[in-house]
Formats: sequence, structure tokens, C-alpha cells
Amino acid sequence: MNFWPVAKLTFTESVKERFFLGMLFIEVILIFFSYYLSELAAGDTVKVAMDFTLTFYFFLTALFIVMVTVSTIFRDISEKFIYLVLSKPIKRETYLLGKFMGSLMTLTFFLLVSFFIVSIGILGISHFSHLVVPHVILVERIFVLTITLFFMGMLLSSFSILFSVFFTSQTLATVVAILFFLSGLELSSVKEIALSSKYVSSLNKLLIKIFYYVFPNFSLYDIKSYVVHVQVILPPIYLILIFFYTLIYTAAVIFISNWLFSRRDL
Amino acid sequence: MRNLLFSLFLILLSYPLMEKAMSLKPRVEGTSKIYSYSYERLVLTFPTLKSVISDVLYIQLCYLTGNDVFNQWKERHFTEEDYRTILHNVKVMTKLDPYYFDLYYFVGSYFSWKMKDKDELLQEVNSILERGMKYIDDWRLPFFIGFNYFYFLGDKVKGAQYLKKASDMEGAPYYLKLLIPRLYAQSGKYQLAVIETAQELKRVKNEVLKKQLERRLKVLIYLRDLNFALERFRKVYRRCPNSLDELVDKGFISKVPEDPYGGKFYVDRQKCTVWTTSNLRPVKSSTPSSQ
Repeated sequence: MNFWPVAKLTFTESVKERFFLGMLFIEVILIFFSYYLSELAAGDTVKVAMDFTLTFYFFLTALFIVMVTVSTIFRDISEKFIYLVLSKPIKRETYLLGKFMGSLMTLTFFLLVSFFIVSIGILGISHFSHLVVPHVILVERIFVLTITLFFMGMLLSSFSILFSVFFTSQTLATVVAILFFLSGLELSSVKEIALSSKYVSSLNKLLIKIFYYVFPNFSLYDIKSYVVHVQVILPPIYLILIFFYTLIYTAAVIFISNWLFSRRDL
Repeated sequence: MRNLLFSLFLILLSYPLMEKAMSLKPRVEGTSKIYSYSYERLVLTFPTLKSVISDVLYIQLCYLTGNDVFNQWKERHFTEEDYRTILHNVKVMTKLDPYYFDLYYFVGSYFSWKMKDKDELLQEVNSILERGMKYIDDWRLPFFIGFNYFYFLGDKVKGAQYLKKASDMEGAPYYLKLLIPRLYAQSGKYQLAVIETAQELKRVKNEVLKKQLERRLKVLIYLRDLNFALERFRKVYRRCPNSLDELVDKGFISKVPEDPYGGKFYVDRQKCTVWTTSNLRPVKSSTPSSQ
């Protein structure tokens, strides 16, 4: 448990950042924005508002974890705090693990607060919508989405650590992590369309397949339709599977990050 | 403090410049053109935003349709080509978010009426609704399909089949159950109409509906028997009878029964079938409640 002091410090520092409160504030603003957008649609406006709110929730979580993880490592390097830590009997691997765990703790706190904001926001929108047939809102499903977002954040945080260790520029690490996330989201759709198209050559199909398996599949964590539509069923085994997928992939990326970090000149 | 005031003054100074620039900015007028969207392109551009894109396209559709309905584009109305594009776009939207009920409701309740003379488009509407039935458990989807079949496409048997599906679903209004046998009867499927009504009668618990079904069953049995008699007459005399009295005179039936709805049975010589003047609806003078 040597990583605990680093994790605790990372958590307290990240939560104290204005960025943390700022993201929550943006989330509240975006919920209001979702409400006004939904009013433009005829019919079930709550469905439209939920789509927008949950999409913002999804992307804000991704952006949050990338920014927190990358900035916490680069802050330590730029403020020379890392030398102070590594001069103590703490291994580089332990330090990195501490950073990862601290980021996850911050993410957990962020998601818990967000869950309450999003749930209250959606219930509020539903209350003010006055639909003849009310849209069914299952708060427990928003919680399930929050859990999958935690898994997504876990995997994305590990990749953010990898890029932070690999690149020497904070901006570059952030941009690459975000692009990597977007690619991971996109590839399952690309594969689905490309493989069923007769206009895509066999070579390109093979390349897409390779990319599909090399990149992590972030679309697994996108279960918004399950939250919005009560008819959509999600088997519990799905959550178990994505939990283990996340665990295995994250462990692998953390190991690679440790290996790179142990060879990096600070 | 002086600096702050000076900054505020500068910002205030910028407003007239902004207003002047805005007045000179080339304007792009709102267009009534309807663009066709590709599912593949939308999915590739916004993979995780499928449902949001579906929402945005639906909002745009509401805006365009609203302008058309309320005659906002003075220069034109939707053309057939526009309706074809709209239908294509709705198909794309339902592919993006197949659980979005309002899209099916839009095509079923609005689009069908606008394209009521275009059988090909109505068939396409029905295929969209049919696909929607896989995802949404709502009686209105089979109802719209059934309605399109019997009202616009003139296929009463298919219409009755879909209305039957709709009437068996939760939340369906009870009168659908009365409509199904009528459609079967109107399309000459009297035996089917009788069976359907008799089965429904066994299932129904609502006393008011039970009474209505009993009355309808009676009329349907009369209609079935009279039409059977008419068929036998045709086989023997190789012509259509002039009236029901001729069937009585020749001994095919003992007497002309009375229509419980208050109408009169008659021979429709054009189709050579027996029908009733009540059209399977209570004739006003015979229903005390409606007087």
C-alpha cells in the first residue's frame, strides 16, 4: 500500500482544483441547454433532453479524466515535486500507481456528484415538461451508466498515464489521449459499416479489423440508449464482461506505462 | 479603478462598431430546401451521437414541416420530391435511434395523410412502421399500418390483420375490436368476421363492449347466412337476385331478418352481395342514447 500517500495527495490536489468545480458547473449549464434544445422537438421532449444530457455527461467524463490524469503528472514534473517523492523510498512504479489510483478516486467523486446533478436535472426536466404520456425515467439506469462511465474513465486514465509518460508535452499528451478516445469510440461503427460494404476492398477491411483490435473499444461504455429507452434490456453479464475487459486492458496499459516510466529521464 | 472604467468605456465603444458591421454583413436567408442524409456518413461522423443526431434531425423536420403547414414559405409548399426526401430522412433517423417513438408517430399520423394517393410511399411508410414494431411495443404502430392498408390502400383484410394486432396490445382503445369484424365483413370475409367476433366475445369482460359485440355478432351471422343463400341462388340461376324477397320466394331463406342496428339488409347488385343500410353502425333513430 505504498502508493496510498501519492494517491491521497493526487486526490486532494485534484479536487481542490478549479477545474473540478468548473466541470460540474459546465455540466449544470449543459443540462439547462439540453432542456431548451429539447423544447424544439415535437412530442417526447424528455427523451430529447435525456439524449443531450447523457451525451454531455459521457463526453465531460472522458474529458475530465484525461485532463485530471495528464495534468497531475505534468504538474509534478514542472513543479519538481516528482524529485521530492522519488527521493523517498517510493519506487517509480508505486508513484505511477499512486497517480492512477488518485485519479480514479477523483473520478469516483466527480461521477458521484455528476450522478446526482444529472438525475436531478433529468427528473426536473421531466417535471416541467407536462407530457400527456410521461417518459419513464429509471434513476437506477442512470446509476448503471455512471458505473460504466467509471470503467471507461479507468481505461482512459491508464492511457492518459501512458501518453503522459511517453510525451514530454502536456498539450500533446492531452490531445493524443482525446484523439485516442475518439478513435476507440469510432472504430466499432467503422468496422460495422466497412465489413458490410461491397465498396471497401479486402485489404482495407483487414486494416480496419486490425485497428479495431489494436485500439480499445470505448463504444462498449456507451449505454445511453439503455437509460433513455425503457424497452432496451441490458443483460447483467454485459456489465461483468466490460468490467473484466477494463480490468485486463487497464492492467496491461499500466504495466507498459511502468516499463516506459522506469526508462524515462526525468 | 480608473483602468476598469476605461475598459468598460472601450467595450461600450465597441457596440456601435459591432452594430454597423452587423448591418453590412451579407445575409444568408433561411432556406426551405430539404437535404437528404446518409446513415453511413452520419454514423461515421458521429458514432456515439446516433440518438442525438436523430433528435437534431427530428427537430429540423418539425421546423420544416411546421413552416410548410403554417405556410411560412410563401413561395412554395412541399413537393412530392420533398416528401420522398423526408421519408428517406425519417428512415435514416429510425436507423439511428430505432426506439424513438415520435418518428414513427410522425410518419404514421402525418405523412400518410400527405401521401395518401401514393401507394408506393404508403408501402414504404408501412415498412418503416413494421420495423418500428420490432423495437417499440405500442398499439399505435400496427394501428397506423392497418389504417394505411384499409383506408388508403384499400386492402381491408390486411388492415384488419394489423388492427387485430393493435387491439391485442396494452392501451388499445376498445372500439378497435369492433372495427376488425367490420373490415372483414366489408371485404366479404363474413365467416372470418363471425369467428373473430365470437372469439373476442369470449375474452371481453367489459359489459358495455360485450353488449356491442353481441349485437355485431348477430348482424354478422345474418350477413354471412344471407350471403351464403345469395351464393346458392347464383349457382342455381346464374344471375344476381333482384332483392332479398326473391331469395324468400325461391325458398333459399325463410324470411328477411331485421338488422339489430336498425338498418335494412339489401342486395348490392353491383357487387352482388348482401349488405345493410346501417353499415354495421347503430342507425341514429334506433339508439335512444344518441337521440
